[in-house]
Amino acid sequence: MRVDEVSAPQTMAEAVAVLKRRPDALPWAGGTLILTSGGAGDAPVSVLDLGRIPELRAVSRSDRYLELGACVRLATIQALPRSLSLQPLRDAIGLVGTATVRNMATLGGNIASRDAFMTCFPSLACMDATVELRDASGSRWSGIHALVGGDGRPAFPAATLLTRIRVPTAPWDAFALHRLGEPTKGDAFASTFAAAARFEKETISELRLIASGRTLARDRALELSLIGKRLPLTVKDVEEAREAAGERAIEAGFPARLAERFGAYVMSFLASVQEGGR
Amino acid sequence: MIVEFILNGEDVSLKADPLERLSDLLRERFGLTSLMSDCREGVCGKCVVFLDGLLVNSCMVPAFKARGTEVVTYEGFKSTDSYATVERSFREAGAELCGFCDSAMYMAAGSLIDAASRPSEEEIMEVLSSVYCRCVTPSRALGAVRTALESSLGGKYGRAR
Repeated sequence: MRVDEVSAPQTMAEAVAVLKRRPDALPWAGGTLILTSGGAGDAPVSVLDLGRIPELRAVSRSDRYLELGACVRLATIQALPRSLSLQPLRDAIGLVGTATVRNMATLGGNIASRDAFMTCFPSLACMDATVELRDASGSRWSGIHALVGGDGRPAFPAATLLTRIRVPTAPWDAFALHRLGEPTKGDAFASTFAAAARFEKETISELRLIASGRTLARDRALELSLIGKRLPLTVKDVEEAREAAGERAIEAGFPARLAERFGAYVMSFLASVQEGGR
Repeated sequence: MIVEFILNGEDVSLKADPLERLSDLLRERFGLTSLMSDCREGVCGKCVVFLDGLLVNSCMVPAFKARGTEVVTYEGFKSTDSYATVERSFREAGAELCGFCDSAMYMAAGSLIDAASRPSEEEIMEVLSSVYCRCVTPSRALGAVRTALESSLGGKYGRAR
């Protein structure tokens, strides 16, 4: 990768002005993913260094959610009080690199990848996180699924900056996370599976089953079919869920063996839920 | 581009390609060969430096990111009280290092001593695991860091926060 320009704006307005002038500018937060993935060919690149914009490093919280600037380091999130119900996100962060890498890597950089979904994405999707996107026309909040294209691939809009991530802090009663391979290596089989559930009076009240890699697989119809069911689930329910999850992963472009693995994880998660899974 | 930063307490300025890695700059331009530039992917940990007080892999820091920062390498760390504490603690724990990554291990341990709050054992092992060391067992390294923490904090270091 060759760089012909480095901009280091001090404010979001300056950053947006750079993007307006150079829509192809490469936003650079921690840069750990960019450096490990090798960057984008030989064409000269304009780098937009986001590290000096204070609002992108801000952390704030309300009763219902935690709001993180896109350049908040993963290590900072790990160090947040345990009283905050962030287990799905903490578990994902713990899988990213080493402690020293997490001192540089940022949450925004992890979820704004254009080539594949990285480790934190499915956890944030389970937690119904929302993201603020900003471009020359203004800013808007969207569910994190707005970053998933109709074909299941990452669909981060061009000439746009991810500025904040809101993570609801309502606790989940059960959560599971599995990662296969190393997403930063461009491994076609690297994927992350995240599942989360809430219960109310021995009934599933909320359910999320998400697998991501180069594409994202989620079957909302499957989730809705299990919400409202009383525990323990029947063997038939669990087996049908396994099959549906696998089929959904195939439709999303997952290789057959990964799709089968997704189905197995779904079955395993639902089985743990049966046993009290908390 | 011109890259200016503070290196081991001194102002430095040099011309570098924006994407030139800090690990390469430190080794090749400043002769600071305590750090190794092995994996160049942030995996082995042998290139760690303190960047504005945070322990990071210098192979993952492009030159443009180093502008305006304060960088401390092992050569600078050796002049601190934390180094003396760490070195003595590793020696007393019998944690003998081969010399290949001891600079990185000592700095990893030093980052824990300098941390604002007492790290838990899990946090200690997370940080020490950032350096791919085959010489010392995890339990012995943990013991060395616990000794160092007791020494720097005074009194008996508890097992968990």
